[in-house]
Amino acid sequence: MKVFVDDRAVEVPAGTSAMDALFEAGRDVPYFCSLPYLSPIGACRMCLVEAGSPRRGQDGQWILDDQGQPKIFWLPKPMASCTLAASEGMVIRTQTDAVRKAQAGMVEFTLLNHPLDCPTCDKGGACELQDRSYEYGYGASRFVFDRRHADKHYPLSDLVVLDQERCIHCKRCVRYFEEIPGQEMIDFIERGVHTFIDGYEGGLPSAFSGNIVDLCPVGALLDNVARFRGRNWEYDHTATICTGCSVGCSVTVDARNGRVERIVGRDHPAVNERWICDAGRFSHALEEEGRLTTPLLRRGGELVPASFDEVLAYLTSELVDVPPAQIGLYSSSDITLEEGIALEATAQVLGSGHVDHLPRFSQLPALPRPTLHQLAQASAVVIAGADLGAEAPVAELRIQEMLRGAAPPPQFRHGTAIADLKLTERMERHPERLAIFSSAPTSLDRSADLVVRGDPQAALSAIAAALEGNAQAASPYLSAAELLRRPGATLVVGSELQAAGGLRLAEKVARSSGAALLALPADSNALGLAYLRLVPGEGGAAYGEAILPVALVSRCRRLPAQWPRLLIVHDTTLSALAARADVVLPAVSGLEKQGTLVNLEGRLQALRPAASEVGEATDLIPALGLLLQALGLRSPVRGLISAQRALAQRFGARVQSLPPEGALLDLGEPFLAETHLQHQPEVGAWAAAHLAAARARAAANRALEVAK
Amino acid sequence: MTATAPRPITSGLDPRFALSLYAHVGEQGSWTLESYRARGGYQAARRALSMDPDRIIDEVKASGLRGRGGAGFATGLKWSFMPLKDGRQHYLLCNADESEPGSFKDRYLMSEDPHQLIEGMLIAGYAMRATVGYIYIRGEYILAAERLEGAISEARAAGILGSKVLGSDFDFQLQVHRGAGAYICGEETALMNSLEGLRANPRLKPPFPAAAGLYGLPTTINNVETLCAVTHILRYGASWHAQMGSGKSLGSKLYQISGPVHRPGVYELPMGTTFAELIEDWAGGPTEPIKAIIPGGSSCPMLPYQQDILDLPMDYEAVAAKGSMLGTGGVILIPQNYCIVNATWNLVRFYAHESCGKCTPCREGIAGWMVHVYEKLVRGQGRPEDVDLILDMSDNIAGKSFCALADACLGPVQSSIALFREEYDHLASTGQPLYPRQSRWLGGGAR
Repeated sequence: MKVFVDDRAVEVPAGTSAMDALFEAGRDVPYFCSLPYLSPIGACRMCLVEAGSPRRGQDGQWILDDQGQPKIFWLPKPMASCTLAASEGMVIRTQTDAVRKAQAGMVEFTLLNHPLDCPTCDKGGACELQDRSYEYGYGASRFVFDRRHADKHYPLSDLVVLDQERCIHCKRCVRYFEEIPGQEMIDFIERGVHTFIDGYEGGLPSAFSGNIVDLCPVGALLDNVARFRGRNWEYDHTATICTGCSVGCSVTVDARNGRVERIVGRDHPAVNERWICDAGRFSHALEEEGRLTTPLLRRGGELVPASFDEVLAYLTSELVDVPPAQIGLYSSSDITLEEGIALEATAQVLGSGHVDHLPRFSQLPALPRPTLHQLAQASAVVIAGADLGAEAPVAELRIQEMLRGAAPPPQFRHGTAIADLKLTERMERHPERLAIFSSAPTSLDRSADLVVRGDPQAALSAIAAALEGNAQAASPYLSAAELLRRPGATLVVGSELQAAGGLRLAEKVARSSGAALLALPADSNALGLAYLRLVPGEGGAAYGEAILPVALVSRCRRLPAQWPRLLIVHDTTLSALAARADVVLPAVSGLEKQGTLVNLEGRLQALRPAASEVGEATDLIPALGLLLQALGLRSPVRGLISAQRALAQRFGARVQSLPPEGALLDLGEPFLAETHLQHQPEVGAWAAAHLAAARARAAANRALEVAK
Repeated sequence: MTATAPRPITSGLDPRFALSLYAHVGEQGSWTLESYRARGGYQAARRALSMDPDRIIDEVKASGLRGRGGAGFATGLKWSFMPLKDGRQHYLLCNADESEPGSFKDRYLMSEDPHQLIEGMLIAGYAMRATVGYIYIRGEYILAAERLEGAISEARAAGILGSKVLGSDFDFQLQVHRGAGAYICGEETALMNSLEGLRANPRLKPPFPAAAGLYGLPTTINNVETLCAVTHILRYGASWHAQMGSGKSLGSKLYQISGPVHRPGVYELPMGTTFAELIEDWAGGPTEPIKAIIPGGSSCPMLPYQQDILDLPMDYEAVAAKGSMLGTGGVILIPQNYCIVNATWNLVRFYAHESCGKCTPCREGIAGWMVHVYEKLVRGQGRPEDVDLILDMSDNIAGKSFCALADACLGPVQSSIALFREEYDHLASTGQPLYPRQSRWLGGGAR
């Protein structure tokens, strides 16, 4: 339908809000309470416009004015454009004197009780209220009374602190918890000008609490880990991908003076929308603890710092009599495709079949993989042997989106709809669309009508039987089978099922029910690495399966069953494995790498290195180069550029020029083999460790504050 | 019917006028089922239950009854917005959160004649296929709530509420819910939030309650007096109701009068009765010179106390034509000798206290700023430009807030400045009120 905004005409789909229509037309209104993915509520009253619509008469024709044009019936009051539905022929005015005065007056009201402590506020320089006051305000206040005073350091949880004075009552955080993770934990208390935000005594028991810091339009909600660590203009902002799990959320990593101070969510409508989990948000706290910045070499039984030259000399002498084909190469599954192809090339140069990555798939279902967008629009979801909270937390949010029927919001030239009128507060949720079969409690249990504790593989067998019509009477398995038969249903299987080798069974269930199948990768790039030749070759041993003369192990937390005689470890910290190594090479973390990752939906996304100081740490490619150099060998993949060239040769040129949103590419046939190593995701433990580190850092931050 | 239509009843002194709503208020035991039955109670409900529900709505439409909660929306039309035949659960809510300063009519309806309300709700519920009703009563109305609870249990025991009401196939459950003391709960969508156990903030409209109300289901919400009037319409007929009043304002109405008059109180009069009749003939006239009249509860703009206003019929259109509203019919008189700034501050303080905090202009403008400017003026610390500041601030609030609460506060503010600007200017420039009387709020350093 056609909408007229000032002097411009735009075509927008039916159901568009006046706010999105006017942004689509390239106009601007200030707003504080609206936010993409949240329901519009019209609370801040900033986005006022004048609006009118033509009307149809009894005959169904437009009522015309004197000039023969459709007569515009103006609404008697200025309207909040976020909650006003645009209609055919609507005329919106954003530039009149009345609109300007209304907006300026509202800025004045909003600022009345705002403390204006911008010079000491962490939001300063990135504050919506600052920007909007500058653009739309009077520039001065006529308020002569004392401002409202309240607690400026009110901890909502260990990680999020509230400055009650700065709050402008936009209700974004309150709506966020109710609408996105579906966990109501905070609300307004008191009323009138005394209204403030508060929650339970137990902090914010959600795995997604940090998002309220990102969405706060002012500096009221602050990340306690990053609080007072830097001003917004001092940070180096790096747009990259979180490597915590296989969802691959878009994040911005902010570093100052070489230290990562905070991670904030970045809008990616198809993947994480704009939300990230707390484990990913606060991961930098742990990633920076006890970092190795130089190689270590075992001398006299002790690991001591050494130069790369010394390491090279040491390896050269130690590897003289070692047949290259007996050297093992093992890596965790969070390495990039570039590192992976370098690993593959190195194994080929060595002629070694002792190569593996872990945790990994032992097989991949030969079914098209659903995207996260499809998951969010599924008619029903059955989860077998997966705890999304520990394996792919943000996928849990997409399932919550599915449960409240919030179809992905429309996209405009200005991005995701700012005020999507389909969304409302307290939308009805549909727990009957979700069934969970797992042996341990999962984070989504609270949202599902059907939760069955027990062996997921047995459950899946029973569902398969039910699908074949062999079920007697009503049972949870029959209900799950019926859910899966719904057109557009999805079966999600995770670590517990895959560890038990249940993927073939899951594939069978998916095929016979017609449901899509999402097999969760166990690590951030486990899916991508499945398309490289990184599984034990002819006569090759899996990790720890045989006693090898030499093995290079990158970022593995697991200890091998059989130790190699010479162990080279490439890691960020002195892990339990590294502590027993003969040579330790410093590694960069996922935040500091450049390369490509493949997320659980098969989307290739580019990693960019944050501006942090990591000494001599490198990614895996130079570490492999060092090994080859010691042997006097040379790999065709010796750096990032040659790795990307190799990837382009393998997967096509598009992997070299990924668009900002990444790309869903067909990577051909996977190379997989059975593995006896349990498919065990580390995200859960990883998250717990990260949050503990973040809490410690927040506490240290607070102690510093008190000391000052 | 004679060839010429009879002259409408527009005066309480008209011999044809008889009390209906308040006919038994003040009688000993009037709240019992026994008393109610003795005077023909529940006959209207019996008649209604034998009718086609749609015919009841037609009859209410024909009666010309308009909502008595203040807005004056046609009741029958409102009922017809319900998706009558969709088969879903419908709710009937009675808004008994009477909290507007100057309004105190519903209180006695509920405490003195609760069965009248129960019968009205039964009829309305049957008409709208609503089998569950809630009476959301102001928390301070303790006696009224107790009497209502008592009346509901009596009615339940007598088969008037519950399943198979009065032997028919209709089920009707009725509950009393006591509010916790917030004016905003009188706003229909905030009332529904409060009833659901949520924070009492108004909801976005549309969707309107008839489409998605309580628990997201079709809901109609009516004032206590409206529902009581329904009882009498069904008992005596639409034409009986329509013979009272004139134009589009028909029926019998409860007017309240407060301020310096000899007999302040609630008076049931036909619509269209003049202010003069209420004040002089019924309330016994003012006890001292009056300068302003608030025609319908504190949110209605003040009018000057002068003959052309006093001669106005108290109906929706006539009062609106003078730039105010009939509202709930709660007439407040402001004495000549009372500082108008102080009187207005009293009202502004009420609205500031009751602002729910959801939207910026009300929370910051009224509760955070305007009330302080008034206090400053009243304390004699104002500046001459403060009066224009209040007007400009009012302009920035007017029509821009989420619900009507902020605009309700502006009613007395803007009208008092328009009428008594010299009082404001005098106080702002000299620090002394033109008229000496002040509210007790200034004593003892009370804020």
